[in-house]
Amino acid sequence: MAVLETTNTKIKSKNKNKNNIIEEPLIPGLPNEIAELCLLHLPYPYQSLARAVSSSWNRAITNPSFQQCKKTLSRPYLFLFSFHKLTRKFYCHLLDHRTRSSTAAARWFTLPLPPSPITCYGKLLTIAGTMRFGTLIFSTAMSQWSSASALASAAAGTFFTEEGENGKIVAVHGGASLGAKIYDAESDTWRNGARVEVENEVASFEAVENEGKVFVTEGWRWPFTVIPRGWVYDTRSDTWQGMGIGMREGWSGVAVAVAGRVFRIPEYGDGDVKVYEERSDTWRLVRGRFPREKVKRPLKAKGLDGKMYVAGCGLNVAIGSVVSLCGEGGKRQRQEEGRNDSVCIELKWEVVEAPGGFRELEACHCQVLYA
Amino acid sequence: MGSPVKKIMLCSSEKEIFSVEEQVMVQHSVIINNMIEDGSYNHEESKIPLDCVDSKTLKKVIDYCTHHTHHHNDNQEDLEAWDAQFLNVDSNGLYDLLMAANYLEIRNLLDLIYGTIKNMIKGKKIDEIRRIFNIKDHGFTPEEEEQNRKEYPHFY
Repeated sequence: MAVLETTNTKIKSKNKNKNNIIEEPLIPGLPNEIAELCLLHLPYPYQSLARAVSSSWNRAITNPSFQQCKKTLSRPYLFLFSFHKLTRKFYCHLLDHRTRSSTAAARWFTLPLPPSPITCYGKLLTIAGTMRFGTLIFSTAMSQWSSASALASAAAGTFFTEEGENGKIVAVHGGASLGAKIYDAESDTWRNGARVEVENEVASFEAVENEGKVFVTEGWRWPFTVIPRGWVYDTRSDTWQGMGIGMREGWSGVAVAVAGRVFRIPEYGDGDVKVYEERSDTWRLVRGRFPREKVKRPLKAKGLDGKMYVAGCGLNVAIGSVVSLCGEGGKRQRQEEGRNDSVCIELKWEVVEAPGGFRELEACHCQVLYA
Repeated sequence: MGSPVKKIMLCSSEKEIFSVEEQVMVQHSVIINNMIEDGSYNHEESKIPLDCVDSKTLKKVIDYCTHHTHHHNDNQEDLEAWDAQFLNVDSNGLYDLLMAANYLEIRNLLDLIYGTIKNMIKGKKIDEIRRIFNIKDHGFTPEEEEQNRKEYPHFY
């Protein structure tokens, strides 16, 4: 059991940084790697306070690898951007929905607003503990905004952005042709991806990113006589393809990627939540009724780690956990219930109701982020 | 309740032997659970050496695991009160427990201690936090300290 000794020997020796300068330990009496764990487990918003305690705490918390670690150690928070329906004032809130004991209520934080005017079509991007809003970046460690490398001006106009794989960001922009731009967080630069020519200009579209593919559709519009067009951008091969007709036709409401699948939540009527099956190019029914009476349109949704977060009017939030019934147990359960259909996914919904003061707020973007 | 309760031996840094119900440790410690599962622990002759855990700390860790095994059905309030009493130790005692829990991978005890450390920071002023964690040299240049004070006046 050689591992046992490693922790203790470091306590007494002072810690040396890269330049061999003797540094104060993060917390006197604790080895630095354990003290770092303590800092990692500080929930939002205490990290900005901790950063002012000492320069070594500040360095530990602002280190990029620290924010990477938080992904595995921390819990997801929901960032909601909204505007007031009457005053058109813009708001930014953070919801901590996973409280330790069942008696404690969900906690809401009001975040500082980005330092420049914002239009609501803008989208947020996240990379390990930071959020980007257009060219602005929000760091949860610092609880403040700063500016980032600007998206090249060619991407002006309608664009949609999604976090891709490996912390890369893919921005899809419309117009006379559809193009992709890929953002690299490490070098803080954008590069151009492939483009695809389209017959008529794509004025606005819905998009969702799932497992390295960005699904883009212009969506149904009045008078609903033409089946909407759709494209798929593969980030790995940097190629565009046409979207299956089943996917385009059945895509209504908001789409959200979670657990490696694309779901759609209709905004109107009592439509069912469906999941897209690529093999057969069809949308299939999902079990578990969406809590429509509490969470009303317009909806904004984001998925992370097997859960989808759907924000509605007044910032009520529905959280759907994906339960797979695909395995042997699920097959048996389906047989017992006398079902032969291929429905094998269930969503378990819980609702986090927002304070009454948020009634007039309309969500314009939401993002799930480890903080 | 026919067969006797299975026990395992834990050995502290002072070489003191503690005999504990196997189930208690297996339920709480990922490391001990793995050792029992992969068969590297022999019930006849093995002792698990915990060279970085002193007797006082090990006794507390065992107390924690035992209580949470036998009282997990208690109501939340009682358990929280017990936990609060359990962690009513000085900071050295807390750090020892943290290192032991980290080594043995006792997740619920770790969460409890991280929560306590958060409470040591929560609502405090910077000077108080430095005092609580015995940070004598904050390492900021006077300019940086001044900048922080300007940027976050409510922390000071």
